[in-house]
Amino acid sequence: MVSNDMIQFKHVSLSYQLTKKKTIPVLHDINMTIDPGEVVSIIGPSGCGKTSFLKALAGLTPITEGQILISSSDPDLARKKRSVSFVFQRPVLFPWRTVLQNVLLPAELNNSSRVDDDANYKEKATELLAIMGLESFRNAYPHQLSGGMQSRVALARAYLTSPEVLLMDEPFASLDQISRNRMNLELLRIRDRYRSSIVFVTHSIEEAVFIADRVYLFSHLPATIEQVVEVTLPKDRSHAIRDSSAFIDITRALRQRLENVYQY
Amino acid sequence: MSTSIKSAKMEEFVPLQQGGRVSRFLAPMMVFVLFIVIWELLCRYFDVKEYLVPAPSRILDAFKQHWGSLATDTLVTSSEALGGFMLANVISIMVAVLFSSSSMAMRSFYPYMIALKSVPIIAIAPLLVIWFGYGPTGKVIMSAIIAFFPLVVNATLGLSRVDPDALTLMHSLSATRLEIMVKLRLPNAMPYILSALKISSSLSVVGAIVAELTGAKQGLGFTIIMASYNIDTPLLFCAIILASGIGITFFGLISMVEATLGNRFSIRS
Repeated sequence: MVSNDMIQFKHVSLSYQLTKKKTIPVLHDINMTIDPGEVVSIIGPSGCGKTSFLKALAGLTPITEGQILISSSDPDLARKKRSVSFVFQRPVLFPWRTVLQNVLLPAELNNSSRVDDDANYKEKATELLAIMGLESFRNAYPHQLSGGMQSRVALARAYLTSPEVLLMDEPFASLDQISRNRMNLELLRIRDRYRSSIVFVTHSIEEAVFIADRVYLFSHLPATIEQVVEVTLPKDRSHAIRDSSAFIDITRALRQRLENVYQY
Repeated sequence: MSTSIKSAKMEEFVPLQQGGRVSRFLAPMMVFVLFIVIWELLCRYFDVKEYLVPAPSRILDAFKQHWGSLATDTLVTSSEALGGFMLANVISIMVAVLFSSSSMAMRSFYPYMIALKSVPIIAIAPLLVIWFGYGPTGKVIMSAIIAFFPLVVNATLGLSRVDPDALTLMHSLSATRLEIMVKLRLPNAMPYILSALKISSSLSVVGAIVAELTGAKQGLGFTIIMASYNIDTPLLFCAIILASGIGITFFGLISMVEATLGNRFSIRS
């Protein structure tokens, strides 16, 4: 069974075993298909299992039912082949490593760095840092950088191994609004260059719509897909799009729907 | 300066504090000199008995008189302490690595370590004399035992207290356990280990001296006990000063290492 889909979720359910008798269902019957190069946002109430969803996608948390395929292979295998990269809410840079050393970390782990690859990785890291406008900071330590710059280093690290899928767990949540908007644009620019699929978890409706081709609205625990919204905005996005009526319509509809889901 | 305190901003005080680079060293030196002078004067004026509190000048005389043997004692004690310190470093890091990588090992052995920690170390000293005699071996072991605990506790803490996201990152990169230990846990533990090293370095000197007090043929501890039998208080003071000197030197050396490594391994700001 070969398909062109990058990511496939088929009736995926996931629950955590608390004690022998008690289990917590986290995901319930998730069906999803993501094409190569596509960006999807996941939005939903806090604690709705979005992080578990990403971890399952990276093969770090076993699912209880259904099947996940990444380029027609198992998530665990896809992760080991370096097809999947993770970006977290915080940059998670190692303070004892320079910017360049942080970006090169994936190349040092689990035999990913074969002798002939070393130079390639270094070249790739330098290229990524140049794209991020960080080439003059390659020998700086993380604490010397601003929050936005640290996020960019984390993004460069995630792209080092040329992943087909980028998993992002509220990656810019700790940034101020201006840096956040800039990072959104930068992310799309990099996606265009490296053609990776992106699964983007966020709490911000505007961010979810701005960045994605499609927005998935998750329900409360156990998370099911409450709604799928196709973002019918032009592929080539700029900040001006945020003021367009199409953008405002989509975000308004999502906000109304989300308010129904949220039950405080 | 006519600027009143009320109108002065906080920043204006900072250069004032830092400006006195000289005074940072000069001020404590002055206090020290003053202290010595008053001590000397008090001893002379009240004619204090030498075996009770010797005047600084008398301590200096004793230094000159016993210089050769005191130098040997210092060398002996500091090498014992250094040996114990090194031994404690190696063993404690190994134990901490074991503890942080196996919760089973941690659960099985940690209670005994705490129990062992509660044993008054001085009580073990005579036992070490019986086992290892008057030579340096028992002193090195004593010094290692006393330096071991702060190290192992802090190192275990530093190795285990890792950012959960950093762990997920390593797992998402399919890092092996060894890679997680070497590339994440150990560097993460460096600030913890460095601060424990400072405590342990001084403790190792205490351990060596305590062991020498119980039974030895040389060393500062031996000189201290002999001087007290002979009521040679000036010599006693000499030995105490030298012993403190070793401790301070050890502490200073580790602080220097920490200062150079500190920038790289400091906890995320």
